[in-house]
Amino acid sequence: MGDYLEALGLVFQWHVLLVIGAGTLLGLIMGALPGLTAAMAIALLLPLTFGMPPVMGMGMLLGTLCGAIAGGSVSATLLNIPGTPSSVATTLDAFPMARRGEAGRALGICIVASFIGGIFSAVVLSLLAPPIADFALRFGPAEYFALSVFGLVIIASVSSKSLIKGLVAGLIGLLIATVGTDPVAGVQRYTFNNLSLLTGVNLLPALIGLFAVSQVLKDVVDYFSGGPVEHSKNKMDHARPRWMETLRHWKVLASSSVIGTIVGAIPGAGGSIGSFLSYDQAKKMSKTPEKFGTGHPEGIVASESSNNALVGGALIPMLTLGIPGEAATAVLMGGLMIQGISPGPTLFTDNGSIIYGIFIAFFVANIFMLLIQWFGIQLFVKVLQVPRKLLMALILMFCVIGVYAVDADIFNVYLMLGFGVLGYFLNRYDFGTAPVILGLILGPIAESNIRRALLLSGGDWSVLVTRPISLTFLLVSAAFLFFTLWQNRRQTTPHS
Amino acid sequence: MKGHLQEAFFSLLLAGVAAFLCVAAMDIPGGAHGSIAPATFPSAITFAIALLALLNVAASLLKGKKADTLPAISRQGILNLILFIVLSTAYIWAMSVAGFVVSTFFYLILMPLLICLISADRKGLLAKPAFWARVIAFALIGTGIIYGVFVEMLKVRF
Repeated sequence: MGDYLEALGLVFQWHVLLVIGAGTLLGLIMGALPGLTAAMAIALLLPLTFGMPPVMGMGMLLGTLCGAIAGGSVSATLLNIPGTPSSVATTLDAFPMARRGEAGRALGICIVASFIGGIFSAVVLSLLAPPIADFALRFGPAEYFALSVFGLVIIASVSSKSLIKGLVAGLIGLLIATVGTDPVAGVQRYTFNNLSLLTGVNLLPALIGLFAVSQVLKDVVDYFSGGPVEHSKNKMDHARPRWMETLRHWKVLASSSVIGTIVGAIPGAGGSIGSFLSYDQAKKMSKTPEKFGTGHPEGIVASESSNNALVGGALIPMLTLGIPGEAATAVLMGGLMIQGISPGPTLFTDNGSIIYGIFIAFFVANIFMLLIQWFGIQLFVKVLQVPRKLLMALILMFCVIGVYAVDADIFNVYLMLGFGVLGYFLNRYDFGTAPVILGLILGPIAESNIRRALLLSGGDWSVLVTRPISLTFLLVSAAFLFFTLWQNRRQTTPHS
Repeated sequence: MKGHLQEAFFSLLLAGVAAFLCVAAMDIPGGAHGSIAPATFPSAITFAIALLALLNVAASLLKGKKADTLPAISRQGILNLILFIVLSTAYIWAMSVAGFVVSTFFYLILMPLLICLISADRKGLLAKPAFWARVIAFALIGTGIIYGVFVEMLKVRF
C-alpha cells in the first residue's frame, strides 16, 4: 500500500501528466498514419526519455503505445488500412460501416471499446500480474508451436469465404517467413544472393504493401476506371463516443477484454491473434453472425477492446519475466533498461514504487487516450475530406517514406510494392491478406519452436500431443477447421 | 476473360510458383540433427500451397459462369495497374538518384495527373488552369510538410 501511495505522488505531478498526454497524442497521430507502427513510434520517442525520471519516461512511452494501438483503428476505419497488425480485425466491420456513411459511429464505438479494453487490462495488470505470468511461464516449445497453429487456423477460417483460400494465404505468409538465414542451422533460404534478404523479410513492407498499397491499386483499377466505388462517406454529426451502443454489447466487451489480456500475456502471440480470436468468439456468440463483416458493431467492439486489452496483457510477461511479447513491448523494455531498471520477478520487491507508478501511468495514458480521441475525433474523420485522387498519391508517398525510414534500405520499398501487387490479387480473388501477415508473424515462432520441441524430445513427435496445453490448442484448432468446413458446406448447400 | 477464369489462372500461377519454390527448397543445405532439417518447413509449406492452389483451380472452374459474381478485371483496369506500378517504381528509383525533395515534388504532380487521365470524369479537366494550380499547390505543400515531418522532425536521411 505504501508503494502505491508513493507511486501516486510520482505520477500526479503536472509535468508528468503533460508528458504522458503528449506521448499519447503523438502515438495517436503516428498510429493513425499508415506505415508508422507502434514500435516505430516508441523508438522515435525513446531518445526523449533519456533525461526523464523512470515513471515519467515510461509513462510517455506507454502513452505512445496506447495511442498508437488506438490510432491504428482510425486508418482501419476510414481507409481500410490497419495502422498496426492488431487493427486488422477492425477493418472487417469498421470499414464497411464507414463505407455506408457511418464513419463517425464506427470511430465512436472504437473509442469506447478501446478505452474499456485498456482500463480492464490495466486492472488485470495491477492485480493479477504474478499469477498470469506464472501461467505463461509453463509454455514450452510444443505449446508455442500449437499456439501458432491455432492462430493460423483461426485467421484462415475467419478472413476468407473459403477455407482453402484462407489456408493458402496463411501458408504464403509462413513461406515468406522462411526467407533469410535459418535461425538454427545458419544456412540461407530463398535469399537468391540478395543481401537485404539475409535477415529475412521485414514485417513493415509486407504490412504496408498488403494493406495500404493493395488498397491504392484496387482504387486505381476499379474506381478510377469507372468500376465499383469503395470508399467511406463521413457523417460529421455522428462523430462522438458511442457509450450506450458499445456497452449494450457488454458480453462481447467482457469476453474480448479477457481474451485480449490473456493473449497479450502469452509472449509472441501478438495483437493479430488476440483481436481475431475475440472477433471469432464474438461471431460465434452472436445471435446474428451473418452480419459480421458487413459493418456490425459487435465486430468492432470485439476487435478494439481486445487489441487495447492486449497492451496491458503484454506488459505482464515483460515486467515480471523480462519477456517482451512483440516488437512494441521489446522497444518499451529497452526504454525501461535505459532507465537502469531490469525487468524481472525482482522488480516488484526492489523497485515497488516505480513499478506501481508505471501501472498508474498506464491507467492515466488510457484516460488521455479517451479524452484526446473524444475531442479529436472530428479531426480524424476530416481525413476523408481530402479528395480521393490526392489521397491515393499521399498514401503511397507515406508508405514509401514510412518503409524507407525504418532502415534506409530502398530494397524494402520495392518489396513493399511487390507485396502491394500480391495483396491486390489476393483480395481480388477473396483469399484475404490478413492470413499472410499472421503467417509471416507466426512463421518463425512456429518453426523455431517445433524444431526446439523435437530436439528436446529426441525427435519424438508425440511431444505435441502428450503435453496438455499443446494438445488443447491442437484439438481446438482441429475443431475450428471442421466447424469452418461444415459452415462452408452448409452455405453452399441450396437448402440452407 | 471471365472472373472465374481469371481466378483459376491466378491460382494456377500460385501453384506454379509454389512448385518452383518446392524444387528450390531441395537445394537448401543442412541436416536434421535430431530435429527437422532447414529445408523441411519450406518444402512442406510450398507443397501444401501448390496442392491447395490446384484444388482452388478445380473449384473455380467447377463453379463456372453461374456462380461468377466476381466482375473480371477490364483491359483498362490492367492498363491502369501497369501504369501505376511503372510510375511508383520510377518514383522509388528517382528517390535514390535525384533525392527525396525533387522526386516527391514531381511524383505529387504526376500521380494525381495520371489518376485524372485514367478517371472516368477526366473530360476537359486538363484544360482548366485551376486544376493545374491545385495540383502544383498540392505538390508544393505536400512536399514541404513531408520534408518538415520526416527530414527535420524525425531525422530521416534520404
